[in-house]
Amino acid sequence: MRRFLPAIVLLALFLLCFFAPAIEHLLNISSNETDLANRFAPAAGNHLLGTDELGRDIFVRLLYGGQVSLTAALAAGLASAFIGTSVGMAAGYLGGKWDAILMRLTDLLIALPSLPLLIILSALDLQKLGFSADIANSPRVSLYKIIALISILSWTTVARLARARTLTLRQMDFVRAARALGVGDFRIVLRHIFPNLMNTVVVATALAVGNIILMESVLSFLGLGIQPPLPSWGNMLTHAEETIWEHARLSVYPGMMIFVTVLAFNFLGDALQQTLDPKGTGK
Amino acid sequence: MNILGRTVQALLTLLAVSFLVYILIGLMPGDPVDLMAAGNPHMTPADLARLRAEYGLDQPLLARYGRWLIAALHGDLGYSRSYNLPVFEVIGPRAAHTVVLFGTALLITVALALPMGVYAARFPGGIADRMINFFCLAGVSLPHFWLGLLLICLFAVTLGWLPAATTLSEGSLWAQAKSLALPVITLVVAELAVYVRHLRAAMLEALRADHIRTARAKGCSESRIVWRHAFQNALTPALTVFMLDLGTIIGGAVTVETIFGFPGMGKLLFDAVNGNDYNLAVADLLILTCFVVVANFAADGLYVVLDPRVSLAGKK
Repeated sequence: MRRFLPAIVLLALFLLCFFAPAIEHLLNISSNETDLANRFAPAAGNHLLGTDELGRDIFVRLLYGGQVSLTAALAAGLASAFIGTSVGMAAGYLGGKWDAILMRLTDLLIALPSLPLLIILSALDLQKLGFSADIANSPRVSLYKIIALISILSWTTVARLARARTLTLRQMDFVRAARALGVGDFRIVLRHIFPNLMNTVVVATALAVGNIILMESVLSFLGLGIQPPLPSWGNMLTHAEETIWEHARLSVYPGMMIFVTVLAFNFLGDALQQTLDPKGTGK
Repeated sequence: MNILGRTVQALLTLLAVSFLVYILIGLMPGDPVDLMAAGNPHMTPADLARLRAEYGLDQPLLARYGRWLIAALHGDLGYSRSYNLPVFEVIGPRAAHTVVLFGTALLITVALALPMGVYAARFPGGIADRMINFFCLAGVSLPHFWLGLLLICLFAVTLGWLPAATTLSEGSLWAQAKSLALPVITLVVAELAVYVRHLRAAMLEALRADHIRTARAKGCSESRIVWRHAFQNALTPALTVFMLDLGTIIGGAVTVETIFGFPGMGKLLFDAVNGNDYNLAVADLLILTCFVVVANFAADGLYVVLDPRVSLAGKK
């Protein structure tokens, strides 16, 4: 039971967040409707957690923020798992100079202070990459941008683990048998090696998603990530430094959501490790 | 890998980073001339073209990078737009502040992590271990900036014991120390978990070795087993994983500085990016990267001291 608890918490969170429109309808509130006469209202009536500095309902915004934060985290997690597995398997299977080049690149990325680099990267002007001004400045695109940036930086752990596993697996008899039978390299990697390192990748990805949520929330908190009016747990805290003196409540809820979600992902990673990878090859 | 190879690799890392960042700067909104034009409506396109030529902005990116690199190697990282000072003079004092903050936090964290990690590993599965484990998972799941906000809420707003903003270089020494307290506490609480996790894992591994059983069998005292036989062997792997995390840990310092308005390199980087001051941002990031690279380099030297089996001349 304890093993399933994080998964249950996460499932509940997902359901809540992705049924946000229905809940919004049920409570008869509109998430983006500002009501300046009703700012900083305490929890009452339909406003389950009260209202924020613009009179918007906190509870519903938390759910929509969850949609955005969870989407960003899962998309970036999957993308970095994909990049990491590809790089790791390529390095481990091809060996030689490919291995050297790919792993030097990985080491280079690991040595970088990731958050400072993300801060600089987030200032990139998409217009200079050939996007139109409308696209470059829309909040929706700030979500895609943050997903892309985080994916580029967070695949390194998966790559190292995938490479280590591939190095072991390629020496194993069933791989050598496949090669002796004349199976092509690509097919060997895809059908014989990949299924055997799936577990390691799944565990590493679950643990990485927690980190990704933290990165996204810091950037959005600093105003460099997901742009309002699109809510995210991070950017709901942007004004916390001013509101904390009188309305500490406002800064507690979004942070709590981040904390609980990341904690659940970390526990999930640990539980998955014990179930899928008890020998600890993924450590 | 030998010392020479290590040095070459470290230098290559810095070179690659500087190139990468320089290319990225080309993609930032507004080059310096655009910004001047925005500030002065009387400029004609001809003026702008002349200015671009003067700053060398009309040349290809690679040529510009080459010039910048040569200047940087001469110790000239350019001029900060927002501070109207050479970049080095802006960064210098802030780097010192960051070292004070980071160093204090590091000392306290290590002092706390050593007993916690070792104790947890000595009695795995015990109550203390489970509590430390939970604390660690909670610690790595906590957003640093939110922890900072909560601490401000508690110590500055509710209790009023400590100031929420950091003021260094003014006021009495006691006032300065007090203003340093909250950022240091935030960093310690946030990073402690990482240190303890690494140390516990390394200690568990070391205690499992055969020579530990031998030591027990011959009646060696428990404290000698733990500190002399196991701890010394645990330090090297703990240091290795810690060094892999260093980039992330420095990233944590950035957020903490921004929240408390701490005049350090992280806050500076954030302000520089917001103020389109890219010369400054690049130099700041490069120095932070330098720091990680040099620390890793130093760690390689430390391995030799910690573990006599490692030699810098031969293979690890």
